[in-house]
Amino acid sequence: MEKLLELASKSGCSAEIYQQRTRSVELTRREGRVVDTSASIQSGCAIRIIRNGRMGTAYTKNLLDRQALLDRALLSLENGPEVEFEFPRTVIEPDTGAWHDKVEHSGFPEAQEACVELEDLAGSLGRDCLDTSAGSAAETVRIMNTSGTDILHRSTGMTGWISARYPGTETGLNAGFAGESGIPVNPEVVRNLCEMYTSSLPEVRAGDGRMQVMFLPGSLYGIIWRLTAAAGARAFHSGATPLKDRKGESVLSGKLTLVSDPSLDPPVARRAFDDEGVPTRRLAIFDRGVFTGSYTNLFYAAKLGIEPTGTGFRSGMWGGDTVSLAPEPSFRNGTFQTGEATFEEMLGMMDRGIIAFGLLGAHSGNIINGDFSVGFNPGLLVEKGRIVGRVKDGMMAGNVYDVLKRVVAVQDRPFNPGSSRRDPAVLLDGVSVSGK
Amino acid sequence: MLDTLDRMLKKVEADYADIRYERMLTSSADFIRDQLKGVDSVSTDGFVVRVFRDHGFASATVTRKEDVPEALKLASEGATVMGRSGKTVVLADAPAVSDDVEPDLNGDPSHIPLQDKVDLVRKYSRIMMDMPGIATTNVGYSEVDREKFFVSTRGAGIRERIVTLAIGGEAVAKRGDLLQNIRVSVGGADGYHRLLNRDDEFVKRGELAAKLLDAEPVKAGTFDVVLNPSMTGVFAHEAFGHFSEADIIEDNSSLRAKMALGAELGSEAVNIVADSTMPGQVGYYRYDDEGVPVRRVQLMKKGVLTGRLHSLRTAGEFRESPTGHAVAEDYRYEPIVRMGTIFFEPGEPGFQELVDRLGDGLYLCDAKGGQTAGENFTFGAQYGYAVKDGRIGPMVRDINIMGNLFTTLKNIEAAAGDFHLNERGGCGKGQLNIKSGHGGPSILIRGMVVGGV
Repeated sequence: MEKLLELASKSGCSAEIYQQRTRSVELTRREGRVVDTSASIQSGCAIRIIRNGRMGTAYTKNLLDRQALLDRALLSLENGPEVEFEFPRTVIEPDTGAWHDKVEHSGFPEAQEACVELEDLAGSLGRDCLDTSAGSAAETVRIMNTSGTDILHRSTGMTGWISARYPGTETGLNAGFAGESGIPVNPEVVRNLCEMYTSSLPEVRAGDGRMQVMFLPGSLYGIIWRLTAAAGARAFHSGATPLKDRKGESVLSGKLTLVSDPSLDPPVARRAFDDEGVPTRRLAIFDRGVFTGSYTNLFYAAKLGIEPTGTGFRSGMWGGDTVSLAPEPSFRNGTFQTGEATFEEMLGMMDRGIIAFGLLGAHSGNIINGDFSVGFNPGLLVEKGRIVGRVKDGMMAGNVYDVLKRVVAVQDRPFNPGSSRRDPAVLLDGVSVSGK
Repeated sequence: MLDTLDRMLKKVEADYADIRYERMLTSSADFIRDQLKGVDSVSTDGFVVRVFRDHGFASATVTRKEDVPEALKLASEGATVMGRSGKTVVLADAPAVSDDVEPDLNGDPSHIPLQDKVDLVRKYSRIMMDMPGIATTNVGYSEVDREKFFVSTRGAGIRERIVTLAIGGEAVAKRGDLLQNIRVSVGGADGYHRLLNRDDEFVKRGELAAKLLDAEPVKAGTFDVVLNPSMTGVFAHEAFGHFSEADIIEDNSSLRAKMALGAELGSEAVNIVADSTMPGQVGYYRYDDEGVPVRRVQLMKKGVLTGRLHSLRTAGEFRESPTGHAVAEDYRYEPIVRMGTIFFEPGEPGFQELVDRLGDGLYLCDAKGGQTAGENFTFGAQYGYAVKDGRIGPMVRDINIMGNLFTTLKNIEAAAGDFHLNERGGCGKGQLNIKSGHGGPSILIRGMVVGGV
């Protein structure tokens, strides 16, 4: 990497090199048998260069020929976009606690053990309806640039996941667990999952009309997606966002604070710096309902004249090879801050409503405008504070800037403690529901 | 390269093993309005190995050649763990093929300068940007030129090149706080010329985005609907197609029983085909990533289930013939069962006759998004029209439909004689696959749940 940086400097460029290596294994069981195992060892190296106000990029999976990589970046620079930023100088000591050698080398037997433990905990449901998976991942990221940055991130993580599937369907209730050196399976979470599953087995009809809907982590992401799409610097730069000129304005219920804090993320996702080497920090883009401003990467920070926010990540909506993606504004693992009601209290507040456990079609609709029109996958019907069944052919629709003004309660802790998501349950009033 | 791969495979102890090496040259140029956001032209590669032993079957993927032995070791371990858990995999027989396949291209993009591609995208972006009501546009060029080498211990040795091209994005119209967008895409797998002289398509999409500003949100409820070919194609892919992929139902005993060949699942108007042999389509290829030649499969005939799509593993499990549908998106993935090109076959009636039969309801156009969970599906329409007494009326927006596959298949009353296939693919099953084509005629469905705003 040092030699590549030196080559770029000699070409009169400022440069940044991003290097990543990951190793992961995953095992999946269905109905008590292993149905899939997969392993992946991926590495890659991306370079960004800036000369005379233009940027060029290139990447490779195998850094065998440094000059060839630089030549491709120089070719891309000829047609490249105009940029107004410089690569930052960042000094951060590596987070040594996030790496565990035994996880890096763990394999399928360990993953299988974790799956069996989860299945045993949910034993009352019988194995025929259970799907489980478990795995481990290790990631190393190093960023160097000609401003003097040379920072390293190394982390390992293990995850476990269980789903109880409704008979004759591919829909079910699920819970996940994530830890840095083991899988912190929480028996209480699995017990609650089993209870919810059993009480929601009958298929029921929700009917049409406005009703209370409780969003859980599996559905809340669809709501948060619309907010973060509109609040990102890319949308501000293009002018296509309903949040334009609304900084400082109260646009959501005062009960809602939308936060991204990579230092609190589960181990394998925890990051002290973003993919451009900018230090991460707690960032609330909606604070007690008030829009506080955009989040950005370096490119848009300079275009919009705002400070970088440590949210430039090489991530795409549909995955993609990390080194091949450009750093884009990314509100990583953004979620609502916890509130004051227990889950049981929130259930008690529902006279007739639906728990949206998961969504179908969250990625369709006019996302930037805040519109959603999604299927329940599944939705659990609640009557007088009790789950009475799962909704057949139900959809809900609305606009997030409308429905998020009608927040009844926010849960006092993450719905799935120990999972990779920290979302609390959020109960909304007057959501439009349709169903046969 | 085939010899090198063959030598690598010789080091593994297995009942069967294969290895795929894939080199991908991707070029892209992205514009926001008429500002170039980024341009790339890069080459990447990687290896995928699979091992069948102890009745288990597992895979591993690596970037570096020196990691291939580690990949073979991990795949061997995975196969053994699977076999010991009680899952018994049977791989179907398939002839071992040796072949070298070059695509038939009208304009090989590797011979076109990058600057020409950038200029073409800028032109299309400006066409939409200059139209009244349009606030912004995102338009990008995407070229994926892959060269795949496949070797198996059964003796297969295949090289195939596939070139997938697209120019696509969206036009966003704005009035006050209201934002509306319409997607646009042109492309295919038959060369660069398909991308040229497509100005009319971009004009049409820009006009639609502007018109959406005056459209009313659709009211939620249950409606009779006519789907246009784009919507029909997504229905064929999302609602039905994924169920015809044998790996989806393989380990779900109750779904497997429902999807027995010969089952009468749909109305007489439902005829669905998967055909990746249609040249030029985004879903076109000659051999799948198990070295099996792909063949046309009639999935449903007059509402009766007549076929399904297979990998070697699922064909063995179902005791049916392989169909050549085990496809991986790229060098980072093992192959899974995928559709390629899937479509509804057209019927007899003209389009207006279909709308007359609809009477009152909605005419829904141009799909966006789509997802399934078992037999339940949902997908959106970019725009639509209210229909009254067989007359197409005012434009409506914010449309998503949801349904149950088996109920909906019975409620399809007719398919029109029109027919159109999409030009750009995108299927998110496990790994985003851009070689996913679909289409069909306009179809009439009774009683769809429509979620408005």
